[in-house]
Amino acid sequence: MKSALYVAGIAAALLLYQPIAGHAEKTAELTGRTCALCHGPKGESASSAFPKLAGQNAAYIDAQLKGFRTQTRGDPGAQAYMWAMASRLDDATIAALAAYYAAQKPMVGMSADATLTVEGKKIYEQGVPEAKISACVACHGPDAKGQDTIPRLAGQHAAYLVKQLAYFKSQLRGNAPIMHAAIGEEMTLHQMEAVAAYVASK
Amino acid sequence: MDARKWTRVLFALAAILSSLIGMFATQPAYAVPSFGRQTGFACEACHTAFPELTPFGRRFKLNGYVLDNLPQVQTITPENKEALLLNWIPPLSVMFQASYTKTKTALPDSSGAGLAQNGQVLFPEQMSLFYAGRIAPNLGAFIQATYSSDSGNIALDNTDIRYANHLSIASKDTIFGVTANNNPTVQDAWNSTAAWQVPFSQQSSAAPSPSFQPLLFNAGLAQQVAGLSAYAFWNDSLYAEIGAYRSAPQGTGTVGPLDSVQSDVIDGVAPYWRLAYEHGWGRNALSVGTYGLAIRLFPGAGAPLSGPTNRFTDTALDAQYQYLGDDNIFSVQTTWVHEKQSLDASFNAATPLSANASNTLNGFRIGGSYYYQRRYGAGLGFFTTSGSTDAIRYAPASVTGSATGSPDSRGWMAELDYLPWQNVKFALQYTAYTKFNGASTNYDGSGRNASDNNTIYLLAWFNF
Repeated sequence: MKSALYVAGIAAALLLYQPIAGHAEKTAELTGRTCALCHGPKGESASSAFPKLAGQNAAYIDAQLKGFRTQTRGDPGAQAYMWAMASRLDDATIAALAAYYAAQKPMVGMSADATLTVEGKKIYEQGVPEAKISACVACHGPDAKGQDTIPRLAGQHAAYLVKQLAYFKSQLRGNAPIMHAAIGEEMTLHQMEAVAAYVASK
Repeated sequence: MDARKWTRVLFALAAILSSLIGMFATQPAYAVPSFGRQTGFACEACHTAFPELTPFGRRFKLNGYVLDNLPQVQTITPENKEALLLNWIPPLSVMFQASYTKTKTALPDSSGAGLAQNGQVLFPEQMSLFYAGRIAPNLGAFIQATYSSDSGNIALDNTDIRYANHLSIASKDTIFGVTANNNPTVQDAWNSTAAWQVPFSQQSSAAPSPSFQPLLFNAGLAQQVAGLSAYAFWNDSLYAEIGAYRSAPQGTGTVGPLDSVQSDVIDGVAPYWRLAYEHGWGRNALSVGTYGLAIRLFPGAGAPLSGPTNRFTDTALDAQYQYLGDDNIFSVQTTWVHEKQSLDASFNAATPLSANASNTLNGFRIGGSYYYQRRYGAGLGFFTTSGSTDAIRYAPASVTGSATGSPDSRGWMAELDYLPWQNVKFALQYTAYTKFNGASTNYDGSGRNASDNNTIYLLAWFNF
């Protein structure tokens, strides 16, 4: 009888504590224990295999996590890591995660080869009209901070950006605005590297 | 002879037999689907082609195998601390290997009646059950129990239980942890060190392999020791580890203290160290490192476990380069070990077990592999061992001995791989020896040539 009461007491305690572990706790637990392993504790990933999330626009993170969850973003990295990681996230947790990273001190870039950066700046600001490549600045803004669902590029890992541009080109990344696929079709690897070096250094 | 003496003789015979088996057996290496079950990650997140780890695979391992994405059985204290975090589904998996081995010339018949049958089928070569995943919030394990055809037993295989956590050093993320394991380098995250070296992570246990290797290279210590080490991995780049090993043999028949029936028992503890630096850029990862072990062994096997010891100091260098494309994966691993042997116990024994008071033994391996779409692969490698000539320590014996007293061996390996799925590998491997246990021709004093041991090995390897 005594042990039954004890078990009932523990069960009651568990039930009582359930509501306390709300989204704020869940977010802290997820970012600290899970996301941090690749993206860094505050979204400043050390490895260019994984994007920096610090200061990224909340609406963009929200859209990407939902894209992973519905498996509509299909680049290899998304498939290998994020399809699983996002599969059990509900909308509220996704929103809380997005808000957490958006609130961090924005990602800091690294300077790159000067010639490449200058070339990239030109593509970013003016596009390459003869190759039908539009200017990135039109959507991503003069400081490459993006807005709403358009991502911040400033300070991102250049290697990550090149990879994503290549996935737009090969259409492996299926959740991008349609114009990205069109841009990618025309963009050479060198142009991708140049523009990535430019925004990464901002 | 009374029963106790008979038992001792049997143990001594078992020890000799198991050390002979150890000479043939190569270091196995595994990757496990239970990690995939726990995280939901595809194999490719952690592996190029199993068991080789990607940079993320290294982080997952050093982070204590704890990353998860499963429903949990959870208890939270009133202070909002976790008292329990248990996977609903245990992270279990199975490995099954079947193989066919053919040497250029059949091995001698054990009864001396002539050549034995060539072309050995092992079914299984090894079959393992793993618990590989999280135990508690910061505690995880890779525990493997293996049945192998050659031993006919189930025994604890590679095991690594670790605690890991994070802190910030110079504003950079640092993983730190403690590992308890049973094989020096099994805890290592790079595939250039001995326990998990690729390519050729799996080799035939039915074919002869060079008998004389530095301690860090052969399986002499694997699963016969227990070690505890502390490590830190700073900013995804600098790794440092320090630890110590003590003898913990399996299958001794008793749980009492080790006695003189045992052979090669560690005197006290043997320090182990490891330092590595990794640099990643774009799709490339390059690492260089050093590791080593200083060990004092009582020869045992009838001699008391006290008095003089044989001291071995193994100092090793290693390097790895990986290119991880979406379609093309290329990697090279290499390691070099220099072993200094001070054989006080063997040299001064009443019946000396070595001709020299001290020896050196060097081992070098290099191998590269290429995979297309993680499905079709090919590997090529070179290995060499060289050291002091010691007519007693490296004595003549059919197949496993050295007629010249030289421990030198040298050869090439090549492999073709086909992975129809990421957890299934079919391999065709060829090993060619130009020198085996000291010579190219009549190396064992019984007329066997190095090339007689050239081996064709077909392997089917399933992880599920």
